[in-house]
Amino acid sequence: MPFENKYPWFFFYRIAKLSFLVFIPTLFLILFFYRSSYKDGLISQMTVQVEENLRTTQATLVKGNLGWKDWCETVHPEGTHYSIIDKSGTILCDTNPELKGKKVDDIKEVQEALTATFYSQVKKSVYFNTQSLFASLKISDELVLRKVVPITSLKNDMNRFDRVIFLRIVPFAAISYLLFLFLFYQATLPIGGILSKVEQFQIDIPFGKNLQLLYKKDEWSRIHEALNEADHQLKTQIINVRNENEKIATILKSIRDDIIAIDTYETVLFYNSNFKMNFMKEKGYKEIMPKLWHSFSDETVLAAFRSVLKYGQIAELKGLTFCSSLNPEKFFDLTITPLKNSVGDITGALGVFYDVTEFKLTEQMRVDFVANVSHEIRTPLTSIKGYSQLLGAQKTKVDPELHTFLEKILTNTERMISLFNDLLNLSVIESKNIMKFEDLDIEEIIQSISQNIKTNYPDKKIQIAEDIQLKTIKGDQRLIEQVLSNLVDNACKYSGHDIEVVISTYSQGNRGFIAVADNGPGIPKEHIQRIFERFYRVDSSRETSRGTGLGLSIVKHIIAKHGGKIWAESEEDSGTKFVIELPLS
Amino acid sequence: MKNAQILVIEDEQDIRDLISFQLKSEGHTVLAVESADKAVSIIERGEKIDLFIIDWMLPGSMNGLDFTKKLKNHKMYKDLPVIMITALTQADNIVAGLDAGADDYITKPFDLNVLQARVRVQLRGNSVAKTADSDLLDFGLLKIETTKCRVFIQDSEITLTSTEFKILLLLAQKPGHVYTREQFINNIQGDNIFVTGRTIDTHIAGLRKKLGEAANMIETIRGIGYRFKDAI
Repeated sequence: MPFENKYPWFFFYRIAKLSFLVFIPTLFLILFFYRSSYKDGLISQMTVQVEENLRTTQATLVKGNLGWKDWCETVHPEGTHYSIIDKSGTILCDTNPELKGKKVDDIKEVQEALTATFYSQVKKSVYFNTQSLFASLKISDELVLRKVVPITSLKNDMNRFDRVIFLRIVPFAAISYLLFLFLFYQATLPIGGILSKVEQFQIDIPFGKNLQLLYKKDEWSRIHEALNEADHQLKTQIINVRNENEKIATILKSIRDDIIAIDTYETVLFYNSNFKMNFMKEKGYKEIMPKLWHSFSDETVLAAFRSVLKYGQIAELKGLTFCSSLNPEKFFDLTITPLKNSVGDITGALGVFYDVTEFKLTEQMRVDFVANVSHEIRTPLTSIKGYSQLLGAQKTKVDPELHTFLEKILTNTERMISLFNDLLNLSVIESKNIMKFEDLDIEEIIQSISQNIKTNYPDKKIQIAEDIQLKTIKGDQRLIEQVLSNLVDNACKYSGHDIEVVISTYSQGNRGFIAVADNGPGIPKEHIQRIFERFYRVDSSRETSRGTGLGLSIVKHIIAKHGGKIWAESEEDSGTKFVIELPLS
Repeated sequence: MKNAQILVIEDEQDIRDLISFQLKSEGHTVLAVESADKAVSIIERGEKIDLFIIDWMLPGSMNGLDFTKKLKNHKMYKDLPVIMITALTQADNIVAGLDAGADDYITKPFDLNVLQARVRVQLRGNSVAKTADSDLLDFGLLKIETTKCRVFIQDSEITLTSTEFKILLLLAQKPGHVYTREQFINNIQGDNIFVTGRTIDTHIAGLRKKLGEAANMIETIRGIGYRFKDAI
């Protein structure tokens, strides 16, 4: 796994190297100075002893009244030699007889001693052929007693000292250095985490440069570069988001519908200016208030929003009204859609209000118009029909020649009435938006139709057979009754005297089928496509054109409103079959 | 019934004259007025009326529906038949009129023969079927014993459920009266019977099956309701 916590080894090495370079010289320096001090200490100690010794000797000499010359010649110390030196530097007497009469190497020994009483120095002794302590004591105004002692013991002490250093101090120093490195390693482990993050970062957001290659050995620069890049990306994204928000705000402003969005706590997320105008101003708020219920007091609306937030299903409310002093009654359709995040959790709801005031008013006007027209036309028609009938009842008073004229008036009045009724019917069906969908029992419908049809055609023998495999369909009862009634009526209207109509129902998949078949004259192929057109006649030259020509058009419209299809299957002289296909749910 | 006194309320003069002429030629007496207000004065006079023919859309403060409601609240006139004339063919309007108290309706433009037949039926009431035996209704093909709840088709008894019987009785007691589903529901409820509009249709379908030849005595008025025809 390339992204296990990487450790900044190069950094570690640098620090290790650095600390080593600092630590070791420092250690050496300290040891060196310490050693020097120790050595100086040893030497001073020795110097004090020698001085003591010299003073004792001097005292002995003075006390014993022994001449120094005699003493000098008689004494034979081991490992050291004494000298009596005069102020010119000449050795007058020495326990080492060879040196008698010789001059000292360094006249300072004598001069200093004569001045300060005692003087010592460490230098190489020619006689002992080794570093020695030369100590001089003034014994008279002109004479100095000098002792020379090799400092070999000192050497031994120093060796011992050095051994201690190597055997104790250096290993200790090494261990503490390693300890330091270990603790440093521990302390810098988190940087490994940061480096892993940097590598992950490069995969998630392509940089365009490979930091590993650019800063192979410099982990900190890698981190720095990554942060730079992240900062740059972030700033770019913020600008993008701002731009997107600007776009959305512009779009929202330009939409004519009123839009409001809320989150799951019913806090308003955003809205457009139309919404503000319609719903806020009327409440006297200058700005949008934070909670949904500030905008609406209508329980239905609030309940609908809450249901969408809870269940995540789209809700539609139609024909809502909001009245206020600012807005004379307006009608709205409301669609509320759930807002979801990429995982599908509900994050809020978006409500869009469609102003349907105009539509509703127009619809209302149309309905009123239809009602008025209907009423206005029916009135004169009633008179025409009624008085024609009265005339007909008084036929005997009228010239027989004029009877046919009367017939024609009556027939055409009937025709006009039928036409008018059908046109009105068609108009109503076309505009009717709300149908009541119920489960309809087909056999019941057929039963009631058969009853009526027989009264319409008292002269004909009509047999209606049933083949019901599908018992119920979903639809508007009155409209479906009208469809079947029209079809059966058509079957009877154009057929001869012995009429057989077979109504069958069946289902295929999720579609239901109703077929109305007759044994009538059939429809020629060239006309079948057009029979559903308004006022289309198969045989337009027929003298007695029956019906208004709207029956099938009405049927087609009703079926279309149910989401279904209708078509005719027919051959000339072999009957006609109308097939209706409807959705079952 | 011959020579009934019929009150006609219709604001269009031509149609008013038309109806009056027709009714008079059948031998009835006609009181024809052009507004509900005028009709109210007649009522208040306590005139004997056998049948009301009322146009639904009337001018003035009172329309046909209001007048009919007034009639139904009037001690003297509440049981008298009302035929509604309407230009509004929408089923909702007709059902509303029937539920307000009209027994039957006729739409403009109407056929005079149809009007004549309806008037006849309403004036006849159930006088044809009533027999000396106060609880037997005899329609020839169909006989109903009202208290014993027995029904006979061509003198052989048929078995009906209690709901079917109630429906049949309701219809047969007022031949020519158009019953809306609402009226059925209101009259049939009670005694463990619970019906809705859809179930009425189912019950009537079942009733018709059992009535056999007499099935056609129950007429379906599409989208409105049912009516009993005492003569096939």
